[in-house]
Amino acid sequence: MPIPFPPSRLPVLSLSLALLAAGCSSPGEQGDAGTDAPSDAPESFDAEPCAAGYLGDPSAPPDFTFQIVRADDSVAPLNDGDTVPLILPPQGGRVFFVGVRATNVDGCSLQLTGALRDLSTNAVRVDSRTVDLVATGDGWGVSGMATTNVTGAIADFSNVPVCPNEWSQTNIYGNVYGLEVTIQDRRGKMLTKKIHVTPQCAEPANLDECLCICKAGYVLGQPCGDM
Amino acid sequence: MDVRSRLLAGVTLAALVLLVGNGCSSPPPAPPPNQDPTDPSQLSPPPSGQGVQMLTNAFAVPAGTEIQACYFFKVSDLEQAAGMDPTQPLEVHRVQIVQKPGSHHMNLFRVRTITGLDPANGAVQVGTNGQGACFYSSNWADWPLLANTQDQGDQDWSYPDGIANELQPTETLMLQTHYVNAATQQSPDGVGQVGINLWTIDPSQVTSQLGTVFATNQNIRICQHNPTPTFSASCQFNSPQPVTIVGANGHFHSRGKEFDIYSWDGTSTTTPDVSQRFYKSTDWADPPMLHSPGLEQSIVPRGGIWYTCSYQWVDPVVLTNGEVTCDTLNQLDAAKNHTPPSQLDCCYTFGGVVEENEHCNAFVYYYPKQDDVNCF
Repeated sequence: MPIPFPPSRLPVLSLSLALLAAGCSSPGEQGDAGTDAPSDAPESFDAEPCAAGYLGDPSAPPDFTFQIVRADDSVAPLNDGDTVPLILPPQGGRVFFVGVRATNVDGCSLQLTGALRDLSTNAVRVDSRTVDLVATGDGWGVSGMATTNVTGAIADFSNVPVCPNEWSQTNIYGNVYGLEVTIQDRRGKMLTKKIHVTPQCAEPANLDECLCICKAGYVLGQPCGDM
Repeated sequence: MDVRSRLLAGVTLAALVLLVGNGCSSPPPAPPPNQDPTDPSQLSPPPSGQGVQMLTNAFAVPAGTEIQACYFFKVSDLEQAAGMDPTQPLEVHRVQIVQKPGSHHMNLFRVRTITGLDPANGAVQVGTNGQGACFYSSNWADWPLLANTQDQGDQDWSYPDGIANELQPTETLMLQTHYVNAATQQSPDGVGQVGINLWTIDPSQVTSQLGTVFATNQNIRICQHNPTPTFSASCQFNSPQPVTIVGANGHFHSRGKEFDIYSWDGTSTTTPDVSQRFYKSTDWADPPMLHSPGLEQSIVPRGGIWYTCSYQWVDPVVLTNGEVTCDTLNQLDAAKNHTPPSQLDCCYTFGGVVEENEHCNAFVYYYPKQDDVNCF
């Protein structure tokens, strides 16, 4: 059945993907900032229905800090060497929710990519999604919302799915992994940052299940204690 | 209402909507040779010793409703009904599926951990309009995929020579069928039914096992003020040797614009080059089901798939002729996701109800099997 779609914005998406494919500011090194935004950005960018608008200085390189959702739904800054909480999401398994506090980017339709890398094998788990940041009034914008509790806004964070562990050679919990976050705005400005983190089963109520499905060698469907 | 109460309600409803049939696992008598590919009751079972058949009863799908029914079958019971040794594994090599028109999807899973959807509560458990244990995907979070289809009529797929998916006689299978008879999709007969034949080969002919991937990106939001989001995720096979993908299809609902699946090296964090794309769907209501021999996609060791769902937000009033409004979606978002009023934005969020929710699911079949894989 044909669906009466509103005017498509796919050309905008295509432009972003084309810029990505062309290697504009390709992610790689820590703090690898892409600042080669087109100076003649299409007018249509300004017509998008997003409250965040442009955050900070369009002529300045993008920047962000890491944000993590904790087990109590609060948001905290995340720094190199910190632990990240493994949380039971609505669908099962375990994920962690990583977001950003960013500036000098278009806060509308920002592509947010989060990835956890096994440093011994280089294997990685990735989640990438289009989000609108929430402006905080100081030239910066944040994932989720300006308040401290993000219940209901976890879809605005990268939901990095790490368990069941059918990909990493070590237990997900208690070991150091690489966390990589990339932001790319609609105008092609992009920045990747990498830090080290240690995932941790963070919810005592289902600890046994977490320890089971996140361990090395887990086989889908195997009995997991209190599941 | 807790899960158990919903389940009881679903079972009660099942008793009301079931029209015919007093059993689900017994193959019917041999049908006439001329089969209607849209009539499961006319699907001939495999000849004795060559496979088993699962046939649901016909059930009503009244206008304005979505029915999702979960049927449970024990493999040994199927074998016994088919005149096969109920103590031996089944080496499934060919899958034949026939559905009545109007099916939204049919998924066949292998039951593992029991949470809210327990076969002990009944061989048939029916959910309606998003309510009931058969609608809650967390209930089958670690149940490996066995087969699926979104096709109208019939699907008949033989795996490559020597490839089989081995089922143990002690296993239970869950056949999940979803019919929609509403604004975005219709069931022309107002009746749903599914028939499946699992054809086997002799164990001596098996050279490799088939593995499956069920990847579902469930934390998605398609909102009025973020109207064209794209969600991407990855999923590894974790195989130290190359594997070959021989079946694939993607599933989303009517806001879905494009579903792509790429072969992926297992280490990159950006969308693979378009040359690596082996699946593309732009038709949410009739997505292609690719399978061998047309699809044989090699994946590097420790590689996997990268899948991307792109959406276009649509005014629900326009989409559903007024049956669903932004208020409806906001109420659902608040109730289900605890989204505070300041964040309500007429969003379609993850869920099984076609009119109100969205999906982003990838189904992949490969060999040689390393493991069955579920990615969330």
